[in-house]
Amino acid sequence: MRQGFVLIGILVVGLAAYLALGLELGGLIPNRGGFGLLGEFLGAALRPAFQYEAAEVPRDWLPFYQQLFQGLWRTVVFAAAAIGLSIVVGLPLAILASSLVPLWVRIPCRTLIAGMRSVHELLWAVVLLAAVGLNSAGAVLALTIPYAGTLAKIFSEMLDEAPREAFRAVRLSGSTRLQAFMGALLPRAAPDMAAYAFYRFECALRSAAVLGFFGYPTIGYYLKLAFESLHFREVWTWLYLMIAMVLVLEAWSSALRKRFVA
Amino acid sequence: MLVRPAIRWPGSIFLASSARFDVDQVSLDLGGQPVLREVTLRFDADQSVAIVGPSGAGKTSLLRLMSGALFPNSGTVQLDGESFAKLAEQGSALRRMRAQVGFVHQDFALVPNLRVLQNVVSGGFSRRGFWAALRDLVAPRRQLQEEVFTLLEHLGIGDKLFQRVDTLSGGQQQRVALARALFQKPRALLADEPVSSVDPTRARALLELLHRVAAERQLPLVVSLHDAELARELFARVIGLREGRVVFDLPASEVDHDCLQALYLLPASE
Repeated sequence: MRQGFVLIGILVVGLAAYLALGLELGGLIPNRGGFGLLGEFLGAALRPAFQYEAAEVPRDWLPFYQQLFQGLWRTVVFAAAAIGLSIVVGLPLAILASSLVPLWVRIPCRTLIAGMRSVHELLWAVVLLAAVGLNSAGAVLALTIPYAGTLAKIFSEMLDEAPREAFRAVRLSGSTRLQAFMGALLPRAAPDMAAYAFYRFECALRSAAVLGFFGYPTIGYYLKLAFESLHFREVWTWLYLMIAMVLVLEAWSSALRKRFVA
Repeated sequence: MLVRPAIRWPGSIFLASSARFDVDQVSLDLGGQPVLREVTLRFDADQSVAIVGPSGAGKTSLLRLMSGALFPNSGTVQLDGESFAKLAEQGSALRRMRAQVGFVHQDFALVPNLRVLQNVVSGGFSRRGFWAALRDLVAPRRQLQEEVFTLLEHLGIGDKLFQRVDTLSGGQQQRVALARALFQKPRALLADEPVSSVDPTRARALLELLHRVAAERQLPLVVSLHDAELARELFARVIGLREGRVVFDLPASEVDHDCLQALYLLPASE
């Protein structure tokens, strides 16, 4: 009964939003020229490029395959740097935001975490781009701020939800809180935390790719370049590369998860 | 006051000075409900005692009071004349007292996704600083591994040293929990319903093991049990607890049918 009301409420809000925006589904139908372009774009999906589409490319460009590899590599490196730093920053924050610490520590810490998460990485990227220019550290920082916040929030929930019997038992054997945390609580939550960090790495890969739109040399940069030159076949090559990257990571992480959790 | 001999672990397996518990006029309320009422008991060194009684009688609470997990509302619990209650606010003194009492929990309270070695090692944290404890967990020295192996071997599970706890059977996990409590080098050993989840044959073997290790180390052993028959058969002294009061406290040979009737018989109103 209550769920029914909630559902109707959501539908009403949706309808109100639709009217407020003055949406017309007709706007989604492309004009004649648009149709041609759309067809060309979709057609290109079946024939991704294996070399540059332009007849001539600048002398200093790498061969296409190397370019692909470099874009992929830099995307992975950006994401890995950001996730690594996020764990280093996020784990201590998670501990300080968990129920293990007194309220006067927990509340400011949770507020800080909420603040970090409330601004999207792309907005941080815009801000940092303006502040420090096109600089790798800026890109990594832009990803790290919201990612560390998200990791801290989820990690602290995982720490709070992990079974506490062993923690209490080790405390009762005369250890300090910190020792018992390290020996009996953190290990208990660690498999879930590792699995979640892996999932966030996947998200960071996508974010890192999109950061290319701001000029960082990740997949997004080349995607944008190809798109602007209407080289749709190259666009698809980059898209497929990204899909492959995420699939490989997914396979790897699920194999690891099996080893951790099972 | 007893002074612990400063002997290193492998040698001290059989040489640990034992402790004496005095539970004096202890009453305990939990959540507004009276759990223990004016309980007075004395546990001497080298004594094995079973506490029996129906569920809700206060067996677990009594053991938790004796291990420093709970503090009485009135009365005192003393370990060799030192009171737990007075220490409640003093972190390090309380930790030092707690370290002297080994406790085998009913649900074992192990970390299932760590190895046996790491679980056992965590019993010795009270002797270690933060970094030393971290090292014991992550990169245990060879000597430490040997100490734990010797202890496990003694409990019949030496070959499980590097296995993850969640791959072990219930009985094996219980031995790991016992090993952790012993690695604490306690001066008294408490076990809460240690056989509640194993079959009768295993239960007997486990209780005999508890007896053996407690006797070797001359530790007072206090075990709460559901099964009064098993208690009477294997323990020298049996204490009957019902509704937070001591109903009887007798040598096992004097615990007869009438005692048990009085302990377990439901009142007419229930």
